[in-house]
Amino acid sequence: MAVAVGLLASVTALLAVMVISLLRSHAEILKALHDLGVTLDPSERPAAAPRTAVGVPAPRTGGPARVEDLAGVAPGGGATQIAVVGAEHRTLLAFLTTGCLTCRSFWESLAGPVDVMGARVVIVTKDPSEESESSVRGLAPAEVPVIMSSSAWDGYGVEVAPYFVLVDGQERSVVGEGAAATWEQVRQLLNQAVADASDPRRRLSAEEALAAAGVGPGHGSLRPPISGSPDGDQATA
Amino acid sequence: MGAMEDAGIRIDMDPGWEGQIRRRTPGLAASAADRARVPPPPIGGAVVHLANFPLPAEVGDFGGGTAEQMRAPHILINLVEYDDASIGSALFAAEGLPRIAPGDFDPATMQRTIDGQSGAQRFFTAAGRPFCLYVVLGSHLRRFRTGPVVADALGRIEIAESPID
Repeated sequence: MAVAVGLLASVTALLAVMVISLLRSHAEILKALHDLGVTLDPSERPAAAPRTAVGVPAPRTGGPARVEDLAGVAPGGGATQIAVVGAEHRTLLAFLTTGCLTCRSFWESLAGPVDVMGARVVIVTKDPSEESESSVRGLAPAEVPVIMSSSAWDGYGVEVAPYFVLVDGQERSVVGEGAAATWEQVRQLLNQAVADASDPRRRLSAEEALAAAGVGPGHGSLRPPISGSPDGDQATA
Repeated sequence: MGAMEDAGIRIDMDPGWEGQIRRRTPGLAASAADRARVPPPPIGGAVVHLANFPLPAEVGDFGGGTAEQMRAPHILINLVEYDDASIGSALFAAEGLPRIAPGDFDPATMQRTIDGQSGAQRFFTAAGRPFCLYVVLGSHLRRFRTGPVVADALGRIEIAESPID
């Protein structure tokens, strides 16, 4: 009997040590995850990042591109630079490739007159090392400047084609940008961007907009309502 | 804006200016006026266009197709390289990129007269390479204002020894 009790005590002690070790290991894992910014608490977990549908280019991250002049080579050879910054007119940069089918319709339509908000249209392809120079020469419209410049793609943060960037040279800013499959979509996209930019409510910063609405630091609406409060009273510090 | 460089020519670009440096191709002929005065520039010679306005997709060697689009403040600078046979001739005797004063511009120098515009043309040799410089002003009346801008732009051009391939 004494042996059985002793054996049981030993097993219990061993199990206790194992449980303590497991708990300690678990705690260390949780601490390491916390240090890495990972939380297992659902209430602290950020919402999953939204994703566009398959085939639709994701929006640019990091805000509008920095406006810069274009430097590259002409499809026929030789260095070329096109002024965008400070230009008296708006410039519509059409980032195209010779390979994509959607781009092909833009190449073809630019053989004739295309008016997009009165802007000067400039076609930008990648460098000859990344794009077929002979194909660009074959597709280049007679009346539209074409520049082969991978640095422009990088500078304007363009990752897909066709992609359009409307630049206001005088304002030195990107008025609007995005991917589109037709000129109608391009116009619609840019018209919306121009309308948004001219809307004074959208020009306000978040602080200015809140201030204009009478919401300042310490305003009650900036604090979440107490859960279960019948009349939605605000929490007080 | 950075520098533009090709065919042994380097240009520090000013903001608001655009340009091209290319090799001359058979499709872009010299004007009849030039053919009458000197042999046509050779195929493969360097051709430079500098403008403070949007250049069209295709520009003739001496700016053909652009003058019609120029307005009063606009300046077009064309630099066309000739072949070695021209070296040492009286026409190309001037050494170095020439300076052009406002008084050098003349409406009669235009290869095709356009009301209000004027031009200046100089032949010279730089780094052993013969060139023709042809500058067009959008307004002859404003030449004393745009002349210094032309001088500044010309000062940004460097020509190195580079035989025509």
